[in-house]
Amino acid sequence: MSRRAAIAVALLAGASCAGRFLFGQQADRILFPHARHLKEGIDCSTCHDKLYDAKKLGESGVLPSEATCLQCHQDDKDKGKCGMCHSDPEHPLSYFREDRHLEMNHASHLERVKEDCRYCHQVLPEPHETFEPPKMATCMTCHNHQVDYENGRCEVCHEDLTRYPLQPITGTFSHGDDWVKRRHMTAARSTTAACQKCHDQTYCSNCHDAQTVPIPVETRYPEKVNDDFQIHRGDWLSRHSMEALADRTMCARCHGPSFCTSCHTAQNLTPAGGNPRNPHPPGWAFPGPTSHATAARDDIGSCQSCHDQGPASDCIQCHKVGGIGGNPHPASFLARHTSTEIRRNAMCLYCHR
Amino acid sequence: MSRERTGRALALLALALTLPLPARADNVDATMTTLVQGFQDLRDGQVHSVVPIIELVSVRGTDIQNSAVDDLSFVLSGWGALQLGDQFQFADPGSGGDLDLAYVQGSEFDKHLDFRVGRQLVTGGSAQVLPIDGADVTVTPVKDFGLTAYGGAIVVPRFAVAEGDAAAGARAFWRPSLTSEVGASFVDVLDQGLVARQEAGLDAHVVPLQALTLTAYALLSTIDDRLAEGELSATWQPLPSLELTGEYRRTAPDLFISAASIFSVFAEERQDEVGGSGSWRISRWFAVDGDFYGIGTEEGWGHRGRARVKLTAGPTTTVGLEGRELLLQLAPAYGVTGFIPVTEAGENGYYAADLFGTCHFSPALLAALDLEDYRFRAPVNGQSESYDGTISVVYDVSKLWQVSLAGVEAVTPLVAPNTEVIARVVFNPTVSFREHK
Repeated sequence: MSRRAAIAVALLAGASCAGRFLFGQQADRILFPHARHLKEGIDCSTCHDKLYDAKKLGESGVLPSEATCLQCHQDDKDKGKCGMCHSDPEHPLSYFREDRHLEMNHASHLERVKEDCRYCHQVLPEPHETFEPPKMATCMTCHNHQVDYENGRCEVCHEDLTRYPLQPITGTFSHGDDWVKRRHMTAARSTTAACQKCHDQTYCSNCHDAQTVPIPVETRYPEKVNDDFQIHRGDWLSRHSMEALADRTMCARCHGPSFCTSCHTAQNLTPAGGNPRNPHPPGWAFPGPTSHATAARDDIGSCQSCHDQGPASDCIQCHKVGGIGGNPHPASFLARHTSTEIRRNAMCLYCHR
Repeated sequence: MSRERTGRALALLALALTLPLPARADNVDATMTTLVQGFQDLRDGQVHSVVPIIELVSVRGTDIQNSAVDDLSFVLSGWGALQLGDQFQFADPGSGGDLDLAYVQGSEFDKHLDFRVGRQLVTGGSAQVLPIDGADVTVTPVKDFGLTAYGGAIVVPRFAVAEGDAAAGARAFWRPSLTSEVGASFVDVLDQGLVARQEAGLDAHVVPLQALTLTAYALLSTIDDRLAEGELSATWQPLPSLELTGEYRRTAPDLFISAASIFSVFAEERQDEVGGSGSWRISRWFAVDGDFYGIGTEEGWGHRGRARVKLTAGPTTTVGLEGRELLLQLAPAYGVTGFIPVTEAGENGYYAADLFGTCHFSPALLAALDLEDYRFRAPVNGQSESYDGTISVVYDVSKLWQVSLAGVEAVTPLVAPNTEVIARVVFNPTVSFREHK
């Protein structure tokens, strides 16, 4: 099995295993009727007394231990009424730990709200309901947090924004209509730290892959018809030469020469042996009105798309010192570079042996 | 990717993963996307039925509890592909796969030192987006000032393009706020022992007024002593719903060729673009946006423009119409070279119209339609028009699962897949591990 095949099989197997592992997490939940306990006059602090000292979310002991429950429910446990508290009494587990990616100091907040938990926790979960933390709008009722928000100090509350599907609509980082196509690169050059507040590199690598991506982004997200990031959308093939001319650096930012040659070779669009689909016109190799010389001066990137094979490049055959093609350097190049550079630059030695 | 590079990436990752032991990630986000494509590929006079199956896997672990490093997290992202039917021309024989990202990051010394080790993308300043197997360290000894340094082996792209063997660089920055930053940077890339890229950069993103953002970027090739890329832009947001941007950009396309390439000695080039864009949400239901840029190169000039109207018909439906134009007025040389289609007047480019729409038939069911028509200024392969349409349906089966099906039909001048079917399954779980008492 080839190395690439092995990687592919490993990834597929990994995905399958991970899926099975993750599916298995539909497990026991603790069932706690908040409304009934409050109706009985049981105060929040009776069960959540450790919150008064809790400076971080997720601190141990904030959720009541079984011993706390058994202060009242020992009889129920003795009678085997495990299903009263456990959704899956056959496989009882402790609390499922939810995502906690916020900086939240309960100790200091309880002082500010005068121990009125309902100030923030307006909805409490009942059995089989998912815990809904207070909405951000609740936090924003506090002036301090409003100021933090306006100044982009997300880290005061958020440990990590990358998991939220947020998109700024207005403000300094407004992701307006041409954001991805033209402006995000300008912002990312200087404010990487701000980008990383919401995006990790898996987001960037949808397009900026370390390797060339296996599929273009428009194939991956065909339903995103409203987005401008789809550079190769629609009939790209027919217009790729025009787009390349209109932005000479665009192709080179992601693709190298062998990307072009792999397709042109497969399509038999090469100058090989009298091919009628030769992309070059008759007389291309020789001086004259259809010579390659002018095109090479004006648009060397196009030549390089197919012909850059290092020391084995076609151009060296004729343009090396003493070759029939003569000196290919433009005057501007000769003005900037002297012959003393030849010995310092191995690339020059391809021709100047 | 060569065996040595794969080995090097895995060794770096392994090294990084051993740093925080004993450790446990408390949260793991994973995304698994399975894509099945099916299309007919016409090449060299023969029709080939191609059915690639691509699996993209991304795993991210955060809140890794350990005693040595703060904010420790890891990211692993890769893909694998299997080929059914005939061989797709861009693919490796039979199958393919690679590791795109594999890094560990964390901070030390009360967040005065941040590090990332492994396969990663280095961004910021002259690094542009540089994929390396290596390390990236940011030190902020005093408030607002910092230094980022990175180095490693360049990841060779899938098509084995030599873009360098090793890279190193640094960027010093002043960051008075999250939204304003000024930096000076340097990058050096080696390719087979030769200098492939050596550039110094200055960048700035400044917000002098709440509604005004100014950016500037200059990248100087220190090999050629000239500007490889320069950009100035201003974005003004006079109203929350209105945004206007003006921009000037200069690039030297030949400096995007490796200086170690023999082709770097043949030409001097420049390209200038000047223009702007605007978007205006006139009401909750109606928005317009567009842009226009003039293009100037040594052998011609032109412009590109775009205008779009978007109508949100109720809470579930969006419909839009976009018109685009590209004009390049080229020097006569292009008329005779044969491989670039131009009119007798030396014109090249196209007009395009795009009608698109999305509709949520229910919160879980989305349908999207995209119809495009291109009219070429100069015929391409004897044809002046091209049509294509895409219809997609996406269904959120649950919070974890999403399935979609898309069909593409096209009538185009060049040999390309004209009928294509794309099926996608996404599994996107977040795992939170239990609190043990």
